[in-house]
Amino acid sequence: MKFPEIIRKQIAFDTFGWIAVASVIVCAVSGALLVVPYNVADPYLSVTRLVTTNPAASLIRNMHYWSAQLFLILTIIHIFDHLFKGTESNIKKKSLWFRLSLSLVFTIYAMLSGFILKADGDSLQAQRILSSLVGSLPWLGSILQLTFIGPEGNFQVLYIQHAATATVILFVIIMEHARSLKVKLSTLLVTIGILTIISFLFRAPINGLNDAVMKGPWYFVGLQELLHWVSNPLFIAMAMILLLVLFYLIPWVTPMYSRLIKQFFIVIFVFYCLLAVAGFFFRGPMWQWQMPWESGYKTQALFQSEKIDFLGSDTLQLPIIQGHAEGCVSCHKGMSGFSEAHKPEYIGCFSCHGGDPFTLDKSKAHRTMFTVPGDLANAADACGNSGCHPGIVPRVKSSLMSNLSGIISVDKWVFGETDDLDLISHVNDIGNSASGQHLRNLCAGCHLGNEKTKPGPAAWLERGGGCLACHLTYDEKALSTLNQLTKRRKSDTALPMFHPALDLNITNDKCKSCHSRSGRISMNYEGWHETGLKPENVGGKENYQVLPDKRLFVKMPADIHHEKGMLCIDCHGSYELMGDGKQYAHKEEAVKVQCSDCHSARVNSQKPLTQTDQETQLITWARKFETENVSVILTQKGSLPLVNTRVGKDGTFLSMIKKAGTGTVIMKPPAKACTEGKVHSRLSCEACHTAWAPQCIGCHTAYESQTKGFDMLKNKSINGTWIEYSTKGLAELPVLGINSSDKARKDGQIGTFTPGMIMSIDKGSFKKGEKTIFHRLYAPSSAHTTQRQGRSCKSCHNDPLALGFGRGKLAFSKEGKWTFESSYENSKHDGLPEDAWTGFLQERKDQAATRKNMRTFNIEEQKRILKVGACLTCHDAASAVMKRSLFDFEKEIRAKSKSCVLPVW
Amino acid sequence: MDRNKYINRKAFLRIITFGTATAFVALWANMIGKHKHLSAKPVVTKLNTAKLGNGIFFFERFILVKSDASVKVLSNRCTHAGCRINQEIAGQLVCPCHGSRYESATGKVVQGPAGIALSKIPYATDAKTGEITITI
Repeated sequence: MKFPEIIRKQIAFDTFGWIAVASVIVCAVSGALLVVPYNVADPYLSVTRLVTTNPAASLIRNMHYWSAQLFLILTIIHIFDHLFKGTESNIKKKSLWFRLSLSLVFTIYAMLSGFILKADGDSLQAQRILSSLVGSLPWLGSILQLTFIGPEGNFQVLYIQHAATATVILFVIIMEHARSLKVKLSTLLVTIGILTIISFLFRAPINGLNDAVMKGPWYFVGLQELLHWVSNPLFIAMAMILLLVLFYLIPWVTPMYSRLIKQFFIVIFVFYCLLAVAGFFFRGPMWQWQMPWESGYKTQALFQSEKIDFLGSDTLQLPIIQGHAEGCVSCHKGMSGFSEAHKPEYIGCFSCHGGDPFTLDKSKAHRTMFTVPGDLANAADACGNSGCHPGIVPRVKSSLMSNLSGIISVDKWVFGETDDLDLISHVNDIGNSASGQHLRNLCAGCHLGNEKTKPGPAAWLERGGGCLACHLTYDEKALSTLNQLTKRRKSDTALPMFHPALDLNITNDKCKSCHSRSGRISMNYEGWHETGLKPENVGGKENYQVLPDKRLFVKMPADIHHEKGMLCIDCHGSYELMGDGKQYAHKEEAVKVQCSDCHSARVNSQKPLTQTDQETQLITWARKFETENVSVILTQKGSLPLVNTRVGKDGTFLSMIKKAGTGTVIMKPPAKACTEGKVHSRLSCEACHTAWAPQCIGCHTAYESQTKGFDMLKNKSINGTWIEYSTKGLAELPVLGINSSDKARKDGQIGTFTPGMIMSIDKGSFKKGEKTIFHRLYAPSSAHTTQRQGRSCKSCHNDPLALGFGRGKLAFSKEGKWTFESSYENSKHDGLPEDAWTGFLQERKDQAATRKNMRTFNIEEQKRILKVGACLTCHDAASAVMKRSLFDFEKEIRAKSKSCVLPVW
Repeated sequence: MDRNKYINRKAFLRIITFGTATAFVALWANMIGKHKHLSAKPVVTKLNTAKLGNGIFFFERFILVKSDASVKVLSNRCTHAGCRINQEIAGQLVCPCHGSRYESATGKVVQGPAGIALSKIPYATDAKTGEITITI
């Protein structure tokens, strides 16, 4: 028994042909009824409106769609059925077979025009493709295109040809082929019954105008895939005509050729089905390949679930949002709390929350919605949909705050798992090696992709959350609403009335849950130093702060910028925080802003605010900044506009509007002492103006297989964890060293460093047989404890800590001999004092910093610094001779008195 | 009378049918040609680009790429199959239908299936106001 016959036997209540005729009758009748609610002048609105608020029209539309699909499927089966049986030879008239062959074109045309008439995003693109394909045909292409498709965005021609011409031609051909339209009443009733059930269960597709995934109708997804591989669509159009000609030739060629053509059609059909499956299930947004098991997998539903509710609410006039009717606002009306740009009257609920906007049924509307839109897992669909912020989400995903690259690559290097300190890594690729486990236990929680699963403000211990980490703001009303929602019972029907805002209110607290660790810059900035003590040790004492994670901080001098009322985001703008699309190995590469951008006698680079980029303009609008005759500073690195800066007319008066809304600050040029002479030209601003930086002496790290730990990637407790045993944290002036990462500075810049890790790692505790590793690495530090007053001359030239020797007594003898006595014992690992970066008047040849191109002072540099230090042992820093030495130190040395003693090396 | 000198009725009718069909197609083509001419109504868009800022802007009928003083107006019609290009990734214009990619600064093809660059649309600039006028 042939395959189509087997199917027919299973479901037979009539022949495929007669069921197809019954389907086409249902299709014609339902189509005639749809004419009433369908508005050809505003098709998308009329379709979304009828789907959402007119259940009868929605059901009829579904029947129209499903009957058409059934007709198409049965037609295909019918054709193959005949070809298998060879019944085409019964047709003696060539003209009849020609018309039958041509009817295939009209069947496809009727189907495709119906798909286009729903006028959603997919439809509009399909209209353009069809237009282009038909228009590209030689000779009659342009005529056919205007006659059967019409101009872009205008549906009149298509509507008439779909409803009248194609329908009439199809019926004429059916009449000629079947010789009657007299379907058995039982067949018609059963077909209507089946179609009604399907129509109650599954909605005729209707999608958004700007969906991330663009797909043609299911029967053309294979063609869409095929078009991707062919640069000239005319070839596809010609190939389709050729297939039609081959089909026409089947009865008129010799039996052998006829058989060959049929076999060819079977091969083509199977190949096309494979293409369709590939295109439908494996093509994602932006035409990228995707696998169904990958996170973020996205495709269109083959069957959209339906819920026709005749007993639902009264007929509603829904507000029109972005060209369509949206059911969500029928319940969620009158909500407040939104920022201006995100008000539902402009963007509705669907733009952010997803779900099904074309229903009034709560459970159906909410089934696929994002409870927490903006989390990085859904940000591309929520915040990043093509009508909103499509360019930002990919940037965020490749930014350091998402991929954690610097932390991962340094950790891997330290564990000996890579030779490349600048390896671009991603938090999602962290494995289960010693380093991987170390990151999972201690570091990998701080990234924007850490999933936010529940609504609510970002809690201290809840890091990540994608866009929400910075942009979600709960006021008291929104918090109260959230509180009520979490407590309410299922029987409660009251709807939330207050919504949290998505805005630019990015307070320092939002940075702290991550940036209060490691370098602790967000705490340093506000003048808090972690003590390592427990809260009970200082109960009730002033000048202490206990963070929600129970860490205790003591008050220290805050950064001058904080004291002036500036927020983190006053300096760090959108392209630093959300990424600029490039992948950076370390944070100092991603951060573009530097002190001299703002603190300059004359602005280095500026631009009228109206000529800045789109994103900066949007921020300007959201912050209600004046734009006329306003120029802003461009960073010297990367030329990023600092949107809140203002440049005076002659470029010398620089000011900044504080984003906290507390007025303006004047940005003063560097003091005379900073720019006088040449001898300090290699110094970074931070080298002098950093008041203190958190530091530790060293630590030992070991894996404890019996201790309870936490996997920060999986967010669950586990057995076994890496534990760090560290010394007490200190708050002292940073160590100085050479940063040669900026190639524009030939000899490098003198920057600030702190112990990144003076650490022994017991790798044997994780995997038997492995040896203990020891590292003495310092890391570049930007402590964010800037003071107006720079550090003293002696704090550099006469201080062993600043020079990298560690803490101790640095003395200069009358005989000109520098000596150093360390406060710490020498390490058993490398013989250097425990806290040192380098040995006294020694040079390290190994990798001494957590970055390439960064190092301790070499012996020559140490000697030069100490030579000045020798002078400072007698001469006051403010003395005339020392001031003169800023211009030409060697000249002063040549003019030294007899009593002066220079160092003897 | 030699009947063979004349064509038979069937052949005559066939010729008449073919002639009528040809005339009808000619009429059809002529109508479309006239209609095209009469309905060609260029859409004029005026924009003050000074207020747009730098970036890529997707309009109904074109894409505007602005970088400081440079303004380029590109067709948003993919040269492959005519889809509207409405997405951008890292400076590349992406066609959502079949995945063609173009360089936003020039409109050149970065990745197929498209083989031809996006066409540049000329525009007029008002020297006084800086307003540009795009006619499509």
